[in-house]
Amino acid sequence: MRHVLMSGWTPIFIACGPLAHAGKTLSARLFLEFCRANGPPPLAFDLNPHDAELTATTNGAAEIVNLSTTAGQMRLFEGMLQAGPEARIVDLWHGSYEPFLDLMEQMDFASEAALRDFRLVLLLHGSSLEELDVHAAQLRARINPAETIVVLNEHICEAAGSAFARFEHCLAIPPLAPSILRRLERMRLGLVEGTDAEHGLPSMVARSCLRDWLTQVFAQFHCIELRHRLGATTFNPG
Amino acid sequence: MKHTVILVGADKGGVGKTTTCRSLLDYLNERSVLPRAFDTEAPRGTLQRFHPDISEIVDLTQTTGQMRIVDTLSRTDVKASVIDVCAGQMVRTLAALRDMGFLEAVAEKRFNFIILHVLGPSIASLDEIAETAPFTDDAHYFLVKNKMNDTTFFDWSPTTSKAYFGKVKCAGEITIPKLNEMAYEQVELAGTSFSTFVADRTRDGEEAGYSFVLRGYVRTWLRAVCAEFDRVHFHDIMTARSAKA
Repeated sequence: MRHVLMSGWTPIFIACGPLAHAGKTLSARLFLEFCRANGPPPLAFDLNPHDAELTATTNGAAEIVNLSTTAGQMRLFEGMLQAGPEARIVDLWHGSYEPFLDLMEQMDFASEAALRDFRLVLLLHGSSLEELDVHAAQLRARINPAETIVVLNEHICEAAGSAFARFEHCLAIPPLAPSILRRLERMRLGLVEGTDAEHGLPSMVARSCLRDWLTQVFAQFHCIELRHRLGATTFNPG
Repeated sequence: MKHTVILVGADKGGVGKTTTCRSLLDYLNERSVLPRAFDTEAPRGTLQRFHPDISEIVDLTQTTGQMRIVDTLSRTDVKASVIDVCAGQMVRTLAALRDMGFLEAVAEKRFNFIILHVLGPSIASLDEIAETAPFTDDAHYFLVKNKMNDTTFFDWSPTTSKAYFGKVKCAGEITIPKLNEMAYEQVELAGTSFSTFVADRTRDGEEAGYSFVLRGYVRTWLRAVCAEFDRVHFHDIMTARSAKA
């Protein structure tokens, strides 16, 4: 008989991309809510000190960090490696994209994270296939070991169907009616909170749309989680 | 391998002599050359605080101090002696080395002699180059530009720069890049060598728990410094068996 041991994993999700308005904050927010719904609240960092949207839309669940200061760098990198089972989520402001990658390389952060049993998952955002191709290759070359997941955010780029198959790992975020997002924002509701019949969105249709949308996205997150858990599996001949 | 004496000095204070010595000691260890060091800042000794195991404080103005260094060159198992010359004593130390016959022994190729002249951001500092010239004929003389305090070394004034650097007969220029201020201060507080700090160890070899970010800065900086020493073939000069490299 063989026992299969699925080890725990502590992911560090980094929503990144060199351009503004590519959907990074939405991805970070989705991951934050997914983790919060499935376990202990994650440690989240919002790297846009000028307009901390992730912090604003999650009722302060993300800490605002200014990467241009040494104190901010220490807060972020040491926070990411802090001991504990909570997932870590980083919403990387496009203005800090290059400095962040430079720091990661200088500090050999990816190796240190791997040594401490963290899994680095880079969620790469962009608006065209060509651009994503280039940046995915750069990320693979610069940050190692790490998994790069290309995010197809259909609010930003058109679904290119099979073209996205060229990427080893990708994540599709289908469109959600902008009115629902606006309503959530006005009511200061979280995404999962918005589906609650009692305290969520008043419209049953809107709640239903939101639930369907979250189900599609979260199902993919579960796949990512499962892939990592199985990747860390050890087979123990009994 | 002949014994190499490396003199790190400047007549101005605060130009980074001790930082240069500290990075050099890490470089030598990295290149598997076991060094010993002499801190001439008697009786205090800044260098000794960071490298207590391999350094000692000597008073180079006294004959006993000079004997402590030069008379042990042939006897010691280590192959490099790094001397951190305190401010204002560089030319005087070179004159003393000449008077005791050490420079003659260097000319006879019995020892390697490397001078690291650390420059400061002043014309007075640049004037020292001419003052040291009479002593550097048989030495490998390097000018060290320490960028720790954002000095430009008159790069913005080609005339000034050429006047001082254009004529000097030296083996090369070594640039010590700037290190993040917080990282520098953290190593100061730790009171260890740069490499011990990077390895996250205390002086006693215990795990220290220093900041990962600051260690990263020091690691990157130390790599750049070592690359600078390699660029000017520092290690090759030390390991060369005969004529000057």
